Amino acid sequence: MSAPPIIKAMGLTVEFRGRRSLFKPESVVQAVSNVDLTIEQGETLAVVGESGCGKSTLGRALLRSTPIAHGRVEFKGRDITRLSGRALRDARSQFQMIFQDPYASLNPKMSIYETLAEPLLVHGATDRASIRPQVLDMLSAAGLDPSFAERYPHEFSGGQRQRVAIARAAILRPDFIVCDEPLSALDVSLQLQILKLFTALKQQFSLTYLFISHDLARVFGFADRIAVMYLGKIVEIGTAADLYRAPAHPYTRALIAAAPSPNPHRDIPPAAATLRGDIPSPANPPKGCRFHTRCPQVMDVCKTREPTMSDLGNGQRAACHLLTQPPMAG
Amino acid sequence: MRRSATSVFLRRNALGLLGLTILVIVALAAIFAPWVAPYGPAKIDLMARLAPPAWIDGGSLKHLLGTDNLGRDILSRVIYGAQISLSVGAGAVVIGALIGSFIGLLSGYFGGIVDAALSFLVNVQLAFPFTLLAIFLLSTFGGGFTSVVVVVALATWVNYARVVRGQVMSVKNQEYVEAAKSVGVPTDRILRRYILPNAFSSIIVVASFSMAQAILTEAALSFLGVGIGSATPSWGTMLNDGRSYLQNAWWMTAMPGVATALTVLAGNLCGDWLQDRIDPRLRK
Amino acid sequence: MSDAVLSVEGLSVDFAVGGSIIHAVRDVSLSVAQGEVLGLVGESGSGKSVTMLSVVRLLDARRTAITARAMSVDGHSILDLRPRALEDVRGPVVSYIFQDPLTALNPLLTVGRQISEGMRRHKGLSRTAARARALDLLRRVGIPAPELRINQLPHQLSGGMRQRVMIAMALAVEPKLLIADEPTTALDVTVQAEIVRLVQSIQREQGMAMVWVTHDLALLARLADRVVVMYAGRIVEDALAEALYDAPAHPYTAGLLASTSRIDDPFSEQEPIPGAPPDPRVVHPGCSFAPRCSRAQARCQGEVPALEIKADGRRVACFYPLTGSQT
Repeated sequence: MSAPPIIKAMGLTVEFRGRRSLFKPESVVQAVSNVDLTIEQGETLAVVGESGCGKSTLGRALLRSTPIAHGRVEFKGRDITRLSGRALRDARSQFQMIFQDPYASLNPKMSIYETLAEPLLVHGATDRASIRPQVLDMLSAAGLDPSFAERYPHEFSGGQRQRVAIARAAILRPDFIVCDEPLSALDVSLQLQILKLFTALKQQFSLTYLFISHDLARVFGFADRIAVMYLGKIVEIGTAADLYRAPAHPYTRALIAAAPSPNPHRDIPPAAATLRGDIPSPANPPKGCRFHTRCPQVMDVCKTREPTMSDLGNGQRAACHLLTQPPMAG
Repeated sequence: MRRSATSVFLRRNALGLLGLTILVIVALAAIFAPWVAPYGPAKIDLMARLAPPAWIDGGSLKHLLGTDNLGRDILSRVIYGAQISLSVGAGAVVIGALIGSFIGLLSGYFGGIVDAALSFLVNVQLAFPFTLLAIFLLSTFGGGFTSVVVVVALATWVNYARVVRGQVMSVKNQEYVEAAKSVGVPTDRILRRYILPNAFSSIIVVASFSMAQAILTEAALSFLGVGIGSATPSWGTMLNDGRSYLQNAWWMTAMPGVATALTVLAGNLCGDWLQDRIDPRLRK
Repeated sequence: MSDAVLSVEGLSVDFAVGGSIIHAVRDVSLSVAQGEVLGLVGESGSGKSVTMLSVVRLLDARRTAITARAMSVDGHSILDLRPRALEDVRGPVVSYIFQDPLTALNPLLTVGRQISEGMRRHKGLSRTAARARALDLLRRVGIPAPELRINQLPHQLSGGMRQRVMIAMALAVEPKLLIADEPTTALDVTVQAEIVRLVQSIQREQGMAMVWVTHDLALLARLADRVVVMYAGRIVEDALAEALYDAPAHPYTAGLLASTSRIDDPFSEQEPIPGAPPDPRVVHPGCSFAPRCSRAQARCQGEVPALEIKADGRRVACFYPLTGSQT
């Protein structure tokens, strides 16, 4: 009855193979491990986590930019897991990516006009006369002066370059855009500007976003739903409001507690919510629950058995043994 | 404390500009040789055989740099010789750059088996004694301009292949290449529009070093007697001609030798200069 | 002012880049008292790191011109010190923690050697005494299994561990002033929280003065006693932390505060600062923030506002500052 979701991933697993040498057996790192995910038309799903959690790899796998080891990805109900060659290139007009570093994501030898015209040309814009107005319109939609078209990337600041990169992603009117940490290379005063631009474009072109970020505080108000990842797994997912009001997973609570707040009167987070130690290497994740080495509420069962997702209502789900077998009192 | 922008520019680029100036002078002399040179390259003046340069006792202003054993004007022959040296250099640079860049591009971009095979080819070429190969090829297929250019290009393509391969390997991992792929740009277009333009500056640098190497190689081949035939003077041929007269007419060897050395030095200065200007780490 | 550990007056720093001169820092005056934590905040190009690097004289002298009316650390004037004398000041008097510990550590020396070096040079400790103290410090900065780590090389440690080693190195010589230049920017949030807590507890224990340089106003809220905000090479506001967060006086401080990521406020009410920071090569005749400022008047375009001391001790460089009621 209703439209199929924009993205549906089932059991998605991405593996990287380490270099094999004479003395070392080949190592396999599961960057993304058995992830189920659904993104509905028109929503903004933020994927939040620390380095090595696999959030960027997940985004790339959904767009088929990195090989998928197991599982499948559906785009608007169509299985795209095995698409290749021409069929994949054609499908690419409908899902786009925005990268972290606007200094690296624009070809320094192509003018802004050429950069924005490129997707149109590649996807068979035969009428060359129609390209120019489209490019100029997109520039103004991205908050840039159309007179910038003939200039080159090095003439622009980081914020302006990121606007160009966003314009390039949006010019084909895709259904779905993966934004891979698009704010983290920008100054604080520009981050909010760009975030507001994302909101405006979403409304104008009815876009759906997967927004990858390490900054939970930044995405709280902006995203509809948030998925928290840790070492290749989604540990909690739910609406932003639910996750803020009632975070179920100890890691989500720790992320919220660790996020600095510019309000000096905000309550100091309880020591129980803060983490010790560093993130383990994704090449060698802990047995059982992957979070148990840093969890302030670790139990014996966590060290041996991997928790499954518990449904907490309203679409909120979390994978933690505390939700299924609360610790004994005393 | 504050210097004018011009003086700062001159100070920072002095050596590079010197190299460029020398190259331009040599090139102009070569192009306009019939007007610049006082005599034809083969004009024999039997009355003035083995005349020393003008500034030495017995020399005259008629032959500024002296004459050779047949009384040919050395200055004129050096100027005409520049034609051969520079055109062999330029021809070899173009051919070497085309072959080497293409191989480097494929090798760097595709990696894997393609890279392994092409890198093996490069290593074989490097391991093979070049002079031996050149003598073999030129004596089998005969001398002449085209053969010499091709053989000299064979000596230099490896430089391009190696540098371009490295450059391509770093460019292909740039986010803008990934961005192009995720927009759906096909591979041949990625190579043409994204990889090659961003590797081009390093090709130019290699070209100026290779120009110098090519001129030197041509001189060496001509000196060994497998270069371009003796009727057309080349600096290498002149060196060869002068060999038997080293005792009593050193200028026969010295003048083409100095011309070769200066041009090669100029090419290397230009290469160094371009490298510094193009390397972003040094430019900032 | 006599008890100031760090005192800078009228500092200006110029860089020669390409053919042009960049005024990275202009007429900056600030001081840090014994035991005080000063937060120095600004965006890229604001001159915050350059200011602190000039204090330890770690800028490339061939390309920079540093001028100041006075600059002293713990009573030592550092403007006219010779390189040899500077080395005696760096370390025992002022220590510096960098953003990227991997480039600030020598990749070929073990962690233990690098921590011991300063103590042996400045405190004259023996090899064994320095090693024992290095072990102690590693334990103190929260490195598990320090007996193992002390013999390892920097690349064998994670980013968080390396930053702890940097902190241990900086603390080894018990400096009077610790300068922390974005030490947590490259780290993950949960690790950042832990490092901040660690440095804070050591600072309180030893009562040393500290300058924490950052682009993140939120990070300083619970860390700094006083916050100095820089924009385009100048100080625009200097106030006690509580006063600054409750009622910023300079429009830029207010804008930065509004742009700072926050969990508690609805997104629709967050208002960004328009425009972008100015090109440092272009000299603006008036207030550098005027082109982005909603309160700017004609006067702001042609005249640079002086940094004036207000009644509550706060310093603000603005002709039309916000008053408490307008936040």
